[in-house]
Amino acid sequence: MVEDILKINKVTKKFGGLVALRDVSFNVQKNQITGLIGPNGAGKTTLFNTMSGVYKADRGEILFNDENIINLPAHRIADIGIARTFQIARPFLDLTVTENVLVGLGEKNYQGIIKPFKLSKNAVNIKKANDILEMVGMAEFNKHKASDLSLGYKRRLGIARALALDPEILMLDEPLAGLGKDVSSKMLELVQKLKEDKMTIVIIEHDMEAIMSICDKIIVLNQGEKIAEGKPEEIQNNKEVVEAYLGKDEINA
Amino acid sequence: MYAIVVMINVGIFVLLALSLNIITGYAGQPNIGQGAFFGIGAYSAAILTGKFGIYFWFAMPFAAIITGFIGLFLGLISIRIKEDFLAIVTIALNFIVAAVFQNVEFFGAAMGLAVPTPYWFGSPLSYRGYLYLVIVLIILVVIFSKLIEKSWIGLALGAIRNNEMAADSLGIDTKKFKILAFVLGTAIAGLTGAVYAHYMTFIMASDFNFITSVTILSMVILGGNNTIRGPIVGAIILGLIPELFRFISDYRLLVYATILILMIRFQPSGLLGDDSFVWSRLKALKTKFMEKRRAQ
Repeated sequence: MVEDILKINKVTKKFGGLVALRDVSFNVQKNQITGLIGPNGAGKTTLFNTMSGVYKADRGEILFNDENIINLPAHRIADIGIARTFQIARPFLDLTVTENVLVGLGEKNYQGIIKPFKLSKNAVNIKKANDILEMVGMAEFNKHKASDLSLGYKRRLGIARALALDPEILMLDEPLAGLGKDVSSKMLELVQKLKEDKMTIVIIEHDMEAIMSICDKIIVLNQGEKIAEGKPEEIQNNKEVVEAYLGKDEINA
Repeated sequence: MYAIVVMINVGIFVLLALSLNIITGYAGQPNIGQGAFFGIGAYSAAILTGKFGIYFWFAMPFAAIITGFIGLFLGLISIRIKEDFLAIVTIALNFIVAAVFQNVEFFGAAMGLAVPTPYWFGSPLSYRGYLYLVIVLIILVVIFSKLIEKSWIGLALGAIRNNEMAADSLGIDTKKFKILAFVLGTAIAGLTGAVYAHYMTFIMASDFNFITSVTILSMVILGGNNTIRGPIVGAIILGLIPELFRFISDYRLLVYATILILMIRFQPSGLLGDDSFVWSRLKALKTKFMEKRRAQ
């Protein structure tokens, strides 16, 4: 039984005169991996940013467990249970790896004025953070500063940090971009493992082989509009999708 | 007697450097106008005790609250205006505040303000009394800073310092925490101003001008931003230099500018920052010493 956990309904986002997203609608199913693909500038990251509260949408609604969460501030969306990573890793460079994850564990303690003054680095929290780090396979770096990490591990740390929120949905923005082959396949293993642990994942990725192998469903965006939605094999054979990537003339030739 | 006066002066700078460290260190927000908040605290306290006859001991926390309230507005500004632009706004704020003190009759204008002497159990507060007061305040502010470092607010500010967008994505209300950092940092500067005003018995606008702000910032950067030991050591070094080398006082701005440029170029984490030359040597020495003791 597949259950819709997130419903994106006619979301439109404009930057001045440019329509970055036009009436984009699709649903995300629980415990599945939904892929978001499209050529550069198609609006994938814009959609992510709109879903996670970084941008304000001009129109539309986003229902999460049947509650409209569109245009809530980013920190509220994180509280509610939708976590995300970034295309450029954005780690907290001068904090240690463990502290980076600890930040994500604090959501309840960031409320109000008094609670933030509670001590954060007790044994329970540190163990929780290190368990998450162990799960993403970077336990040995706990005490290092995040600035010491390679790009692959910075990305991994981004995922660990997001997992610390104990989210219902995890949104990954190009987790494989810029990674070498080995590192990339290990990252893919991690995403698979998260899925096996019943995480709902929305992923943007340019690596077609990877996205076809892990996704249950793929949404294709082009110039701000959804042009296709379906199982990986359906998308591979969709004429409009191939055109969007390769151009019309080459198909005809 | 002279030694006590020097210690009080240095102690006041230690407090100011620690107050600025909450804003520039923990929250990572530029502020080259901390002198303005020092002044707002001083003038608030001076008016409360001088014009309204309120006891110094009540005026002191009051001055901190008033200053923190004005700091809240700077916090609100910091939500819209960031980095270099925010730095310029803080400078402008300093000039505006100093100009108000300099020109508005209520604040004594160019004549400055005379401040009544506070009493402690019936006798006027002596220099020694001020020294104890400053030491107690330093201890309290150090404890408070330590609390920030070890609690959730420290993590939240650390996240904001490194990457606001990522902080927001992890459930941190970045606006609230930035405002909070400005309120706390400016309130402590205001508290210090209240002590300064009564200790000096007379204040004028030029005590709180842009040079004061640059001095405080230089102390934090020299010692090590985002640590507790750094601002303390920075304030002691730069607080003592004018006492040791009188002739420098004419070239103060030149010295501060040189220090800022050299530190940012060669030791951005300050003399005693975590990655600094001195601190890493000290840590290495400590490990060596511990090993030796274990070997014995």
